[in-house]
Amino acid sequence: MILAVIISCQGERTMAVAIGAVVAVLLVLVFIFNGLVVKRNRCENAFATIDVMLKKRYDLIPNLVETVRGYAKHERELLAQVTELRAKSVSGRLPSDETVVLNNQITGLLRRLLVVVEDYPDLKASKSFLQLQRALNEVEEQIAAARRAFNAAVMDLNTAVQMFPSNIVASMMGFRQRHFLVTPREEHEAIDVGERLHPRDRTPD
Amino acid sequence: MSGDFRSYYEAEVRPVLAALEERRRRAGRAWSMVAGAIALLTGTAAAVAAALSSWGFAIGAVILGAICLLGGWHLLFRSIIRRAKVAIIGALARFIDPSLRYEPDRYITKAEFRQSGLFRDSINRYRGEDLFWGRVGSTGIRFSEVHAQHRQSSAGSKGTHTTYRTIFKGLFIIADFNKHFRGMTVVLPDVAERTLGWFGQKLQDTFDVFRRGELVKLEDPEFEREFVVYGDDQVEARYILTPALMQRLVEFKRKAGRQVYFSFALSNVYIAIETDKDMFEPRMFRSFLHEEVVLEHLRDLQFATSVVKDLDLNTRIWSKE
Repeated sequence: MILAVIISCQGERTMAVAIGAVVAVLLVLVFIFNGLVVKRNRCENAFATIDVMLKKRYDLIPNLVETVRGYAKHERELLAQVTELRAKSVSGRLPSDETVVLNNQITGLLRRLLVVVEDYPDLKASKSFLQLQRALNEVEEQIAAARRAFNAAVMDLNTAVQMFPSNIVASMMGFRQRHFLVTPREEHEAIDVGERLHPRDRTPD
Repeated sequence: MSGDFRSYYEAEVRPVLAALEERRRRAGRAWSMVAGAIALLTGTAAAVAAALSSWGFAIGAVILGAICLLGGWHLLFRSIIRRAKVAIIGALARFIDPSLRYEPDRYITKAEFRQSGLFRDSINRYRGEDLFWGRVGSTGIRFSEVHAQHRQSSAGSKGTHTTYRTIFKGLFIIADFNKHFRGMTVVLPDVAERTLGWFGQKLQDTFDVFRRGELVKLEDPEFEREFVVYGDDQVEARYILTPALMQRLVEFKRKAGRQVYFSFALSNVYIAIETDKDMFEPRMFRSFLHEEVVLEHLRDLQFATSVVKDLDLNTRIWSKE
């Protein structure tokens, strides 16, 4: 009789330990899962921020094109290209990868535009153009910052997806690694006023 | 001494020094007479008292004499030293930029110090001196020496014991930043990485995360080794801390060779540089006559104003002019 009680007591204790262990494991899993969700949402959020910054640039482009058109008669083709690319991006039906490529092209064209402008001293001196140029510099750097923030969020997520033990939860719940956004080469360089003033001195890449 | 500074020194500083030196000589002559009289009176009184075996009176007379001597010296010479300090440091400031002004008794206010968001301990004692303000190029700048302390009370066997712990002592600079932004981003020395194992410090850091906003992890490994960044907004922090600026901050820290804190708030950059040195403080009048001493004051001043160039704050290519 006593033996039976002892055995049943031990059984209860083992049971309690087992339940405790299961609860602990579950808690850890929940913790890891939630961590992964936070990281994934950060990526989404960062990507959305890039979008916001790109929209700011879209809003700037028509003004810029109009201002330049008034002074620089010979740059019609370049301006048409910029306008066309902008229209394509704004239509909003493109998958995000394509949006990135399009916007990189816009970045390249705008940079070319700012170089070309050097040939038109009247335009360079005009107040509205100077203001636009400042606004554009600002938005370009904001886009770069948003892109860097996105890449940092992606790195956090990818590390968690690869590392043990979060990789187990990640593969069970379908968390995938994301691609980094590749920064166009010229954006690695710091903005240099001298370069803006004497762009022709620069050796081509 | 560079040619520029030498001609400026000869034209602006030398005449002021010469006038003050003349004043000091006159004061010196007057002082030697007054001091002699005081010494004579004290000596006689003490001798008489000693002869009468009134030792208490003799000692009292000597002490009184000493106090008179010290007080008189202070009254006569401190004001001359002070005038020299204002004239010379002010001239050095104008040499750096004609708009730069110097006020020895004013300092960065406690409110401004707090606005930086760099130091979160409650400040119980706050002092400062040597405020400079004006523009360097197109950048507005203010800086002064600052000493902020926190009161700590501990109960011991002999009652409550109060001590003051230094939160920050050194040079505090506020400069107009060249970009618009809304939130706050702070760049602190990475203490956690260096004192790994100090559990308390770690804990404090954890609390800092809640108080200062999100941890911002940046790409530059060299920068990350030196600093830790917290900010209200991940994108804004990166908008401010471009790769170029990160390099500049690392270089500035190396140049300073001391603990440096940066914060970006209210459209300003706040820079706190720890130092025990009492800057812009001549001990004796004669020290101003030594070229080396004047040059050292100039170097201190150039170091403080160099943040504008080192952080590239005069580059105004964004919408903030």
